[in-house]
Amino acid sequence: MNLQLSDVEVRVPGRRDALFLVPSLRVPAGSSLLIHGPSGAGKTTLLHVLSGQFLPATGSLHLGETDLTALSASRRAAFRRRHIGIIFQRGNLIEHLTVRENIALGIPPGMPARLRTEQAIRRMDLAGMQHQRAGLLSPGEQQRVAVARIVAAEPDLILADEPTSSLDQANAETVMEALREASRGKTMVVVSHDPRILARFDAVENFAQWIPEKSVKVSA
Amino acid sequence: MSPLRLAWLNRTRHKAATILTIASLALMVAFAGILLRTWRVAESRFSTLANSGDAILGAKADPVDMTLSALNLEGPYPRFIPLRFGVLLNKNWLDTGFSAHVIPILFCGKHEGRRVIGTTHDIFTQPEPSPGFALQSGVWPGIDKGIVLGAETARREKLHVGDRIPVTPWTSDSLDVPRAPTLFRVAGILKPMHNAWDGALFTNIVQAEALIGRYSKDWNGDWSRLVAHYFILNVPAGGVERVRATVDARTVVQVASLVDTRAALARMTATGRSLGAVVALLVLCLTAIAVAALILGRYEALTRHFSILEAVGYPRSALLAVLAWEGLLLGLGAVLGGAVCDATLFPLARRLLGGALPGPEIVSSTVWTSWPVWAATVPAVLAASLLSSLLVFKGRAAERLRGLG
Repeated sequence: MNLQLSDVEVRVPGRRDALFLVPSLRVPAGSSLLIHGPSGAGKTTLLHVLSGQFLPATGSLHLGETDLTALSASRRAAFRRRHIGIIFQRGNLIEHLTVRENIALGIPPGMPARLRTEQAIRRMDLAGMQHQRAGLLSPGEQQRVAVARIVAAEPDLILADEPTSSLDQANAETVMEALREASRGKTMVVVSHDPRILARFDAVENFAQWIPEKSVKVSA
Repeated sequence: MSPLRLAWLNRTRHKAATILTIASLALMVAFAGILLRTWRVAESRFSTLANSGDAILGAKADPVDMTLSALNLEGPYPRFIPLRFGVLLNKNWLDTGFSAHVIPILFCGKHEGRRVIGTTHDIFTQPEPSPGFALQSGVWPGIDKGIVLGAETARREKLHVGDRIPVTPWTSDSLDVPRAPTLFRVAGILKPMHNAWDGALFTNIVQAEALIGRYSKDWNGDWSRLVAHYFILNVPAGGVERVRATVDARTVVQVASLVDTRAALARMTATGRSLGAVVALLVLCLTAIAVAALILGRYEALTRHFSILEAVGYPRSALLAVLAWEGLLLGLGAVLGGAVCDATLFPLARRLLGGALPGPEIVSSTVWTSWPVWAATVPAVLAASLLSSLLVFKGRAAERLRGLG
């Protein structure tokens, strides 16, 4: 599924100036893009825009043939559930649910939930911890479960927000490998300032190019 | 995963909080239910009060207590008055051309917790508008240890004319003497009157006096054995005032006008109803606040969970449904627990209230009487859940925007 942004301007409620402007961005179907940039610049917000959770003030955002900015909130949610998978930096999981239940959360209605959950657990090698509560897992394990949720949901677009920044080298490698496995044949956008993962993407963009000059005040 | 499943997991994975919340809600539901049942039992006096006479004569006491004691069979053992008082009163009035119908009432025993009343055959011949005391079968007993059953007593215990039943003498509770029961033969069964007297038993006043004579500490030698507790008077218009003028200031007895007493009872019940309604409303508000407190108490966790669910693609309606199901589960748990507490605690509350309420043998009250409280609890809890969700959604938006520069 192609991802296309045109003249997207994002404003923060209560602020007059734009947080960032994306004149044009295209991610072809099946390719991966890394967006890197300074902390606190708005990369996470860009992901929320791409997922349709936060609408830009102006511009259009197409996923395939669908303009997300033209959909109602409930239709965007339904679209997201069927086509988009998201991984956050942390706090991806509901702590009191088990690994298995967290994975099943992402499967769209009408899909064979049990089958897909079991397949994802096998694929991500989580069988040994599937009945553990998510809150008891290490950060690395939690990220693997979040990736497994993506695997089970089989979305067309995968969005990841700093998926490795809170992990050590070994865990970061494991999670990126899992993400690469999960995103095979899918479109993926990752925002990160982790230099360890730069080489794994088809394209790289610097978020700083989209920040209006007067707003550039954060440290790199 | 369905909203119901998510709600169920949210509650069952936080067992301590859930159990504590349901327990506190259940106690509130039980409290409101007990209030409602108490009021219903108190109000039921209007339907159970025996429809007999224009006035009650008895030892000096509160007129409402006298009336409830004589006509609703409530309260402690009353004090004696001389039986000949009624006879003399009748005679004096007859001399002045004033006709009254006088029925003596003497509580003399109990059978299975039901009161046995000694009276005379005059109880069958009350003038309008106090009819209804009539035999369905059998006869009024003489002095052969016969007894007449109220319709409810006969129905509950499946008794028939000719059966023999034990009657334990009942006198002032201050007398701590073992009392051996005496066997009485069922001489007759009354037609249903649809009031408290249906649950009583009646016998000849001569037998009644013989039954309690040995045990009564308050027996007054001057009155011989000829005593009563009350006289029910049927008098012509204006008669109650004439009787009052005759007896109130000059004798040991006093008159309670049934018209006045019913009005006083109605006022008391109305006050109780208003107070009960206010307290029940407060309790329901507390219930809603407790649920809101539970939800807002895990505000941080809930905003994060909802952010995750929304990111995964759950629409706002599904998130609302999760909270609604949680509220429903808590509400149903509270109703179930409240019903159990209600059923357990109401008899205790009734015992504690003692003479302030008619006894269970007169007015029964099942736990189902509390259904309006249950019906109000579930929407109150649901409303609290959904109103709290507004705050959670607001917080969720802030959560989503976290990270902005």
